[in-house]
Amino acid sequence: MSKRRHPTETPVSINSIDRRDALKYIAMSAIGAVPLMAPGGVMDGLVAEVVRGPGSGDQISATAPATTKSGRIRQWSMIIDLAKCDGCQSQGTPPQCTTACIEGHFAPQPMEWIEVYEGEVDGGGTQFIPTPCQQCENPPCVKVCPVGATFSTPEGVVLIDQDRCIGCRICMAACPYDRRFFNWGNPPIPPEAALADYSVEQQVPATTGTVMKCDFCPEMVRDGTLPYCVQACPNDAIWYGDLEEDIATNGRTIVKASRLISENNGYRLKEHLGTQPRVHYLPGHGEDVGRDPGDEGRMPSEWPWIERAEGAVSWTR
Amino acid sequence: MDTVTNWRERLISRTTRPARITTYKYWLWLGLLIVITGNGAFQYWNQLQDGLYVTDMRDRISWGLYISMFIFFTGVSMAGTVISAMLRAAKAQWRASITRVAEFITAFALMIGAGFIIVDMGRPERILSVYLHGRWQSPIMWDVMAITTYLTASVIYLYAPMIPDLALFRDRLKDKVGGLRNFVYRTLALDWNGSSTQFRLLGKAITIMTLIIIPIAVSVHSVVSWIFGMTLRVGWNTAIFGILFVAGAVFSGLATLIIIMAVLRKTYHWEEYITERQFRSEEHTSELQSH
Repeated sequence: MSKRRHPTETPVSINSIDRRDALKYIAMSAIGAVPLMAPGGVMDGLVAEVVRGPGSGDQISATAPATTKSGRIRQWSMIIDLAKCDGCQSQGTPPQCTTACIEGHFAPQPMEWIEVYEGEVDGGGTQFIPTPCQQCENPPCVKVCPVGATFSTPEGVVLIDQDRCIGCRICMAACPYDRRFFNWGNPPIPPEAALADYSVEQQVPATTGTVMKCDFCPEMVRDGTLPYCVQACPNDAIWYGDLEEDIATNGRTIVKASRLISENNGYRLKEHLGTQPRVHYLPGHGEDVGRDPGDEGRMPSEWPWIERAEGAVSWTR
Repeated sequence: MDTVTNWRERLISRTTRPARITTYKYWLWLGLLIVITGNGAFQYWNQLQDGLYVTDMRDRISWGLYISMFIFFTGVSMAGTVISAMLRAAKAQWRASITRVAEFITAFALMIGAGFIIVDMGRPERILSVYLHGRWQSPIMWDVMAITTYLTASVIYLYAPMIPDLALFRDRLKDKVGGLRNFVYRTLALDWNGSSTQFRLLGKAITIMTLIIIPIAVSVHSVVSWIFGMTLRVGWNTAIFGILFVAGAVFSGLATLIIIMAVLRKTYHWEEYITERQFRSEEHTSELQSH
């Protein structure tokens, strides 16, 4: 500063930093933080308050989870037999699981919560893969939600609270299975759906600007019926079960779930990601549907109630 | 001594000129900006009515221009505060004429960037849920916290060194501007009288802010990368994003600074104060960063 002073420079330099001063300020701020860190101090309560569990589940706590006779909470799971699924090509209809789901849940127009993908099998042939939400036990979507709008229930189902969702869509980016859908416009709501009482397990009626997805129908199973998609499958390809009691049913027979999976070389989608999905697949052998996968000839899903929805906006996916 | 006084007077008259004189060009520019802003407001009203449907984003491409703009403006905001803080800490004398520009860029780029997040939300009226039900496990929560902290810090960092200048505006422009602006200058100048005690206290405050703001800025730019890096989307799920975002922010920040300075220099004829030296030094800084 003994050199020529710049004319704009103020008389006492307000800009230069003394290294010693700098260290002093840093040390002071560090000491100030110590009492907060001490064991049993403010921090402990604060940590409990600030670091909340994954998801709030405010809504769901009112509903008691389904339990086995001995009182253990049931763990819902799905087993999909790809050898049996032919994408409803033999029926000449759109995939009936998708249609039933749309009718039951009033899923807004372009959403297919259980979507039937089509792919080639090694060695020729076509494989149809019905894909509901995989209900991960280690769900990446739940982890990233900033407001706890999506959460895992004690039954192992991942649900979304549309009354809390802020529509930031980070869960959609986080989902490796692409199984989350956003209400881009004002969703089409038929009158019967508009009258329904909203519940996180039903997601009816839909809300603009929130995320939706397959909810695994836990309330239906608690009432003693099977989810829409399981009921609708003409080939009995979808098994719904409880991993706690180790049973699964496709509506026709009841089997031991673990045995069904292991005896048929069951696998899960993208297992290497560590998401621990609850949906298991039994590999298919490839049906001959007389056309290449993805070619025209497959029927698109229909939304049978869409005419009754007033002011419906539908978008393409 | 006389030359210095002359120089000083000329500097003050040149720099306060925009505050004293309003040309028709100003009103033209303001009108153009109002038209653009009004159009934006109208489109946003449409979006509030019809949902994010109007943006043509869809499930697979669920983030579009809004989030790109958010990232862009947060990146640009690096310009200011950090570069000015780094130069302050390094005692680089040539910074004198550019720090204010840089700090303004930061404060306003951050405000615009944070706005884009709200525009992108499906249900903006639930923004307070982030505070009521916030979860620290979510990268978005860290985003909100980092950006609000950074914004507060940069506004303080912009304001503190500006107090003597506001006092100068208060004293010199008393008769030349209206009552409202006089009131604003008077209030913001906080009874600054230029005593050595005030200078010492202000210097201390600025020193503290300089030390605090660099780590905050680095945290902001790495935290912003988490909203991509912590998802499982292919191409986003990578650890390089933190470094990439900080490095990218430094470069785009410097570039913005150079552009804005060039515009100000031309418009207000500040060639005498923003010299080629500043541009050259900024190039060197940019080169240094790239190594």
